[in-house]
Amino acid sequence: MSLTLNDIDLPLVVEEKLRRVYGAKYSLKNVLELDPDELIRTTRLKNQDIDLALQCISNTFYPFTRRQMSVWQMIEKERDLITTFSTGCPIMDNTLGGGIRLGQITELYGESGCGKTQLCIQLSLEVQRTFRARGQEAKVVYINTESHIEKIDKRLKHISYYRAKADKPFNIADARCLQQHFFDNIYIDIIRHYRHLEMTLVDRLPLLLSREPSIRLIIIDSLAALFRSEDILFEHHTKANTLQYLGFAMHTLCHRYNLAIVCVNQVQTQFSQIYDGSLVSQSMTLAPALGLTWAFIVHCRIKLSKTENIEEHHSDSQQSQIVFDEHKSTTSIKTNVVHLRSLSVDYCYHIPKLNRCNYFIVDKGVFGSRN
Amino acid sequence: MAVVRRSRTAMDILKSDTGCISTYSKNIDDMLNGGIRMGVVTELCGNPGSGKSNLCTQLCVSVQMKYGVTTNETGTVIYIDTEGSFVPIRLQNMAMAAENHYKNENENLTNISSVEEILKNVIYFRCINVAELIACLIQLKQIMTPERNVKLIILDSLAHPIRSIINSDHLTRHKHIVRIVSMLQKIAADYKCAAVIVNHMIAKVESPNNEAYCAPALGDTFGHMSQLRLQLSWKMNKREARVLKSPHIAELSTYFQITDDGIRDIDETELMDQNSCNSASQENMHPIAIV
Repeated sequence: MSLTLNDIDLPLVVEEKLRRVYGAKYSLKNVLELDPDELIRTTRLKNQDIDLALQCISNTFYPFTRRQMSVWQMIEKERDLITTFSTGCPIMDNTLGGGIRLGQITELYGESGCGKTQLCIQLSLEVQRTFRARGQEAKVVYINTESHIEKIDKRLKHISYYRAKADKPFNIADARCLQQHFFDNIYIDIIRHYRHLEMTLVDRLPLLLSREPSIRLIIIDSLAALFRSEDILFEHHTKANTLQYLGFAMHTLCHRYNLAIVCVNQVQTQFSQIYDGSLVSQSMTLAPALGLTWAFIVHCRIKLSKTENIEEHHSDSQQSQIVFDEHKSTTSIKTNVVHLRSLSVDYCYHIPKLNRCNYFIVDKGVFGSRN
Repeated sequence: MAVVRRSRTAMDILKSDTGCISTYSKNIDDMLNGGIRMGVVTELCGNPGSGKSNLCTQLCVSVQMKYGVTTNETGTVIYIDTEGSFVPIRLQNMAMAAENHYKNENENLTNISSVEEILKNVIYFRCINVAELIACLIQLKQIMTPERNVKLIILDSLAHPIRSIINSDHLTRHKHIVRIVSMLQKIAADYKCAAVIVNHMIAKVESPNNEAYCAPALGDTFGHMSQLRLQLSWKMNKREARVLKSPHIAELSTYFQITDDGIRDIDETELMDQNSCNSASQENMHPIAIV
């Protein structure tokens, strides 16, 4: 599929010599990656001939005038296209500058039980709704590495039922139909080893994408689980290389098919010594796993964390909690409470770092809170 | 096509000073003796989220403002994106902020380039691997025309495609680095434009205590090739810019902030605020050793 020396027109002498040395099937990519001096040495061509040949080759390989675009044109182009999709709640969308951006890699990280998987499940439904609202179809690939598929299936059924109801169906049958439609558009895959993920990203997904170009979101839940397995745990160099390779494959997918990739990452505890006056105190912080190499791959890193706060009187929640007030030493029962968690942007090119909001998880899904 | 290069004395070079591009932060400009120099290669390195891409975007706007205000020329910017992190709306916001700023400062000034003009003069390329990047750079001469007047070339980032070469030994990587950077150096010197290369950081564990620390990626070869090396980082909850290597500037560091409008100075009163200084930053710490 890649371009070879057969595909270009060069002056006869130059072309003949290049073909004699490298063969007609030699790809243009390899020619460009060769040193110009080496080309001169092997082909015995003149310097300016090689320059000309390289110009021609690079023009075929990278159509210069077609690829260049002013930022004004980009903005014009983006106006008609969907560039971000919603997370399903206006408050969270506001925090994330409109939602999850297509063509980029977004990372969600946080300690266990703060709703990473829940948010992912919701995203896989919301991307379909965002596109359907504009009359298009979006499909989702959900790569699961950690939890049982039944649990995800169950939760998916729950949330999709409420989402289908929110789309104002005519009757129960229509709601079921909408719900079924959500399910039809989600491909679920289970991967338990990083080599399989490598294979999936490099071979299987491009194959699937060539048949199903309407895939708009790939969720990997979670990447860290694969790299915390034992056979790669202590081989830092191999690990970094593999991550870089996977990241490169993801970047290529994102760019070529204009899709979003959402990766879930776990946290690790980091011990650091802080000089606190005279005594040295050990402090622990939670930091995203997978290290610096991976941090450079992701475009947008979102932190999810638990908070102590609760919020009362939510009609969606049936939970109640007994709260002990230390000042008045009284206990009170709060009904219909939700536990608040917080979402903040660690870094992202186009979102201010200070953006954060609280959210809670109920039966219907994940929602932002105004407080 | 033999171009005879006349030898120049130091005095000639001093007189023909090509000028600088401001960063919109007075502190950084003062530290760099006016800003990013034209005609040479500047390297920006820093951890993710330290503001490398934002600084690059600010430079895009600042070139246009400089040439729009002082002269009637246009100053075109070439933005080569290898990571796909560029979002056009961000540039638009910064351009609008800069335009408002100039309108407020000088009310009777008419020849300000409008936002549309600014955005039209930033040419964006997306390269996904080394071969594309080389192909793009080979053809870059086509748009270096006098009427375009290219003043700034941004490569954001060099490290990503180089590090993504699979199954490569160090020799291949170095070959590519040298080839790409020398191409940029040649263009920068020939057309008197600034070239900014963004670099990543890597973890090193070579120090005697076996302590991990961060160093700019791409090895020592690359360290020698850029004229100015600027590191962006977080320190005490503030963004810090530090000169790592430069032939003419002392090794200084200064603080800056990134707002909705772009790169700006921190208010002096905020700098004095003890509370923010005491709380050591836990953000943007990157685990190195244990996963």
